[in-house]
Formats: sequence, C-alpha cells, structure tokens
Amino acid sequence: LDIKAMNDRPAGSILRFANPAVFNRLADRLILPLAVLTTFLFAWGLYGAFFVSPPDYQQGETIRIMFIHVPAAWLALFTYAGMSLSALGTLIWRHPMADVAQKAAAPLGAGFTLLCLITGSLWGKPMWGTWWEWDARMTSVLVLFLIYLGTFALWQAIEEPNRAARAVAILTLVGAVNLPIIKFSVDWWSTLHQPASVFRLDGPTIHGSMLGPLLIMGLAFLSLYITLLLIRMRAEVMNRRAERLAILAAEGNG
Amino acid sequence: MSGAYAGFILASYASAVIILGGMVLVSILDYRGAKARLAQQENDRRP
Repeated sequence: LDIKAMNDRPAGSILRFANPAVFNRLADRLILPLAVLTTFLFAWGLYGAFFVSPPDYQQGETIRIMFIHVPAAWLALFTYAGMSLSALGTLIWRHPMADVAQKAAAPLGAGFTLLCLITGSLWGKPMWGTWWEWDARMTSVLVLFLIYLGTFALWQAIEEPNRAARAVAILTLVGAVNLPIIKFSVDWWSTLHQPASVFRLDGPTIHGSMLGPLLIMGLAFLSLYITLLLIRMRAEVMNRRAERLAILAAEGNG
Repeated sequence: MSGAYAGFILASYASAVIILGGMVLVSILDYRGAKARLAQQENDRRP
C-alpha cells in the first residue's frame, strides 16, 4: 500500500480518507457531533412514533412496532450492501481500510437483523396469529442473519488477517445475492408479509402522519450506524497497530 | 398506549433498547480496550 501516494491525492479525492491517518483524524472530529445528532433524531422520531402518528385503521396501536421494525430492516440491508462494497475493495484493490470497514460493520448488521427478526415476530403474533412463518421474506432475512454470523466465524477461524479478510470478502459477495431476494420476495412469492409501502416506484402508500416519524427513525438508525461504525473502525485500526508493535517488539527481542 | 397489544409494543421497544444499547456498549468497550492496548504497546517501545 502506497501511503505517500494516498497522501498526495487532491484534497477533494474520497480516496484520501482511505488513508488510516486521515481516517483517524476525520473520525475523531465526527464521532461526538454524530452521537449528539443520533440522540436528537431518536428523541424526535420516538416523539413522532408515539404522539404524532395515529393508530392504524386496521392494525391499531401495533403500528408503533413499525417505527423500530422497518428502520432495523433497512439498516440490516444497508449494512450488508456497504459490506459488499468493502468486500470489492478488499478483493480488487486489497485496501486494508476496506476489510477494517467490513469487520467493523458485521456485528452492527447482525444486531439490526436480529432486532428486525424479533420485532417482526412480536408484530406477527397479534396481527397474523403466528410468531413465525417459513415464508420467503422471513426466511431470507433469517438467512441474512446466518450469513452475518458466518462472517464472524470466518474472522475467528482464520488466524492470518489478510487471508481472513479475503475469505470473508468472498463469503460476503456470495451472500449479496440474498439482498434482491429479500427486497423482492414479497413480489415474487405469496407471503404473509405485506409488500413495500415506502420505497416504491409509484411513491409511498403510507399516510404522511406515519411516514414522517418513520423516516426520522430511519435517519436516527442510520446516524447510529455511522457513529458506531466510525468508533469500531477506529478501534480496529488501533488494534492492528498494537498488533504490529507487538510483533516488532517480539522480533526485536528475538 | 393502552389495549390488548401493549405487551407486544413494550417488548418490541425493550428489545430495541437491549440490542441497540448492547451495540453501543460493546463498541465503546472495544474502543477503550483497543486504546489501552495501543498505549501499552507504545509505552513498552519507549526506551
């Protein structure tokens, strides 16, 4: 990796931020403001979810679960899409920050997916009369959760970090085929799950009084994700530097 | 919030607090651990 060439890139080039030193400086500046923004967005979103949004005419008060369930589902997919881009960075450009990003994002994606599954189950029981159904949407989201767990297992199983990063990148790219399956499962197959009601070609079908708080909660989840991703990437960069220093010390003593 | 489904709604928000709170806590602990580990290594290298 040519750090000097990266430092010499023009200030506007996004690749400058792929330099660990530049990334650390940027992350240190952004983490606190992002944490404050996240807190504000959650407070605003939760106020909207409980005091602005009316009960649904069919689902009644259980619609409040949507304000957690849907943003968690969006972030589960968004995180995996980001990991897939990082996987390309690892395999094509062999960039160390790409696998740092991938390793930092995986636990966050798993957390969002688990939350999506739990809240979906808690919404399904009163509305559908069942906690779980092996239909296309639910099963494909469960598969996404298992893929996230698979990436953890690979990181743990392979000791050499570069080999582990490449193996995880390949698994991530293979698993990316699941993303369109999750998104379009409700259109391709007959499922209990309702079709998309926000991101549609013909516009949202959800009423504005519910859509507003839902989008704010979506931004809150996104802001939380970016904040935690920066913290975790920062930690991973420090861990790698500590490991390098430990190896240098061992070589010096040996 | 009232009605027959209050328990499901409360359980959903409680699970969000536990999972998202857990993600925040683990991330902060990992960060502090990494910072301490790096500081230790850098101290060890000083003559």
